[in-house]
Amino acid sequence: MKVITEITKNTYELTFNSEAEYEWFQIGRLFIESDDIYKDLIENALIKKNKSKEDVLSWRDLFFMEIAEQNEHLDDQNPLIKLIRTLPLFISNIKFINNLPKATAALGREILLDELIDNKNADQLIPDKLIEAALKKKSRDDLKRNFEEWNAEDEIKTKKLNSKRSFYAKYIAIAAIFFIGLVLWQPNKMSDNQIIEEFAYNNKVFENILNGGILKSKLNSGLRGKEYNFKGLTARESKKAKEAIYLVGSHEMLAAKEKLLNLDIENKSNNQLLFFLAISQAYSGDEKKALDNLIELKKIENSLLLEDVDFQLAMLFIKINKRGEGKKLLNSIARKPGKYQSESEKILRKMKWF
Amino acid sequence: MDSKELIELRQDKNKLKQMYKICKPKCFAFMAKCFGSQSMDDTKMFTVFNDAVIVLYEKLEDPDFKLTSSIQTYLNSVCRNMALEGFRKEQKLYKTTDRDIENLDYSDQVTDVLEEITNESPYEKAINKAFAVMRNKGGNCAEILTMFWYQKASMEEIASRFTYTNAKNAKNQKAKCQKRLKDIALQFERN
Repeated sequence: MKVITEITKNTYELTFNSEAEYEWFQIGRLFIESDDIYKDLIENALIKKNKSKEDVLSWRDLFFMEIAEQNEHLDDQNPLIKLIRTLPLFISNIKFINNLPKATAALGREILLDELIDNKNADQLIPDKLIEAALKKKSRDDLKRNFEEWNAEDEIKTKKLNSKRSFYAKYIAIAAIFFIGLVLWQPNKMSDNQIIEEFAYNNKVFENILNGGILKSKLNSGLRGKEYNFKGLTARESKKAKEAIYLVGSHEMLAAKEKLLNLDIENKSNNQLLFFLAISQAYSGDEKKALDNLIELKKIENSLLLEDVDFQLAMLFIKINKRGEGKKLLNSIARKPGKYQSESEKILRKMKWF
Repeated sequence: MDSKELIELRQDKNKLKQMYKICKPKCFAFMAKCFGSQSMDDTKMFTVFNDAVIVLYEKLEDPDFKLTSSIQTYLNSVCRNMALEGFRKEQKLYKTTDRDIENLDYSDQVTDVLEEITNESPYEKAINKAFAVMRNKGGNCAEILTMFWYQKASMEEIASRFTYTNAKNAKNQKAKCQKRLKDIALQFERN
């Protein structure tokens, strides 16, 4: 029978990693009928004597597994097949094979979603960018209109002053207007949005978060053979967590957030990853969740992340228009030596007065 | 959508990805319209949508599965079912702006939801433990078996994914992985 012959031959090659010319069908038949397969194969000189008993049994196992896998395509009327289906080895293998789709479903679902979500240039990011660009353009246009109105007001005031006030009074008024304009304009200062864009997650801040390279070396450790696994995460999950961290570093916050949420980080008791989740949430539209997570992280005593948490909290306060609280936190960071001290001083210098 | 297109969707990851990206914002908008952002935040919608895509993907395997509506409509319905199921499980009250939901007649609707993976028998548990061990130990075995048994990938696809020189080598590797998994499962079952 062709199927038995082929399966016997193929599983031999798989077991012994070599090709041979044997009576494959006879061997297959013995696999099905013999109670002591090794003895029968050797006594009947069906295989060379140099094969170990262990290998022969392993070969027979593979034979039955392959038969079980092809079960649906076997000839139901064939007496040999009917006999096979009564054998305990076949029954245990068919039970195993039938369970495989279910056993692989969880990982299969996970891989499928990874493949669908993972794409640095995913279209899903485009609408956000377009919205951001449109908003930027609108605020620029609004600002330009304001400038025109202010200029017009200035011209009217200047004309009035020319006619009514004295020579000196005119200059005093111009100086006053210039001063008020300067106060409003604050040319050397940055808007809150600009502060966030420039400081919240720039390369220096990201380096700080990676703890001066300590975490970075752990993240790269796989290159030298031994993977670094995050607490509470499997090797595969850790690999994904590392990818998410790199996404945060390359400012792809939405993709990073989706990856970390997929890993259910909020329920994994891993503060380091929860922190990265909070950053990704903060800059992908989930400010409230980010705030909740950062506040939770701040409650942890003696945490190595405390400085990072404080800095990110300050940034988030500014982002959500709680600039008073943000400023207060930045002042407290700037007062004591630490990895965010200089950055905080710089931000405070650049922040508008009101 | 005819059966040929459905098969393509199952077999061609790029087509599936394209569908995922097109349908995602519309499903989000649909859920937001149905339940409002008070009942469902982005994270929840994201989870529900992902599960709905898995439902569709697994249904595509079923030869009896016929899609009488568009994929978008189907996914919307599955998202709605799963969101409602989630609310029921959490015993959470929700507000809906969708009259269809208030008068929902399940006999007339798509009722597909994500099939939960439960392991009841000791043997199923043993296989799952063995599979977890295999995943944690690294190597390609877990993914090869997943590609073959869950994604129904061909040996050529597996060979290409793991850079084996040909389909025969991939088949050998798969057989070895399968035997290893069975041996580990047997140990768990005995303990």
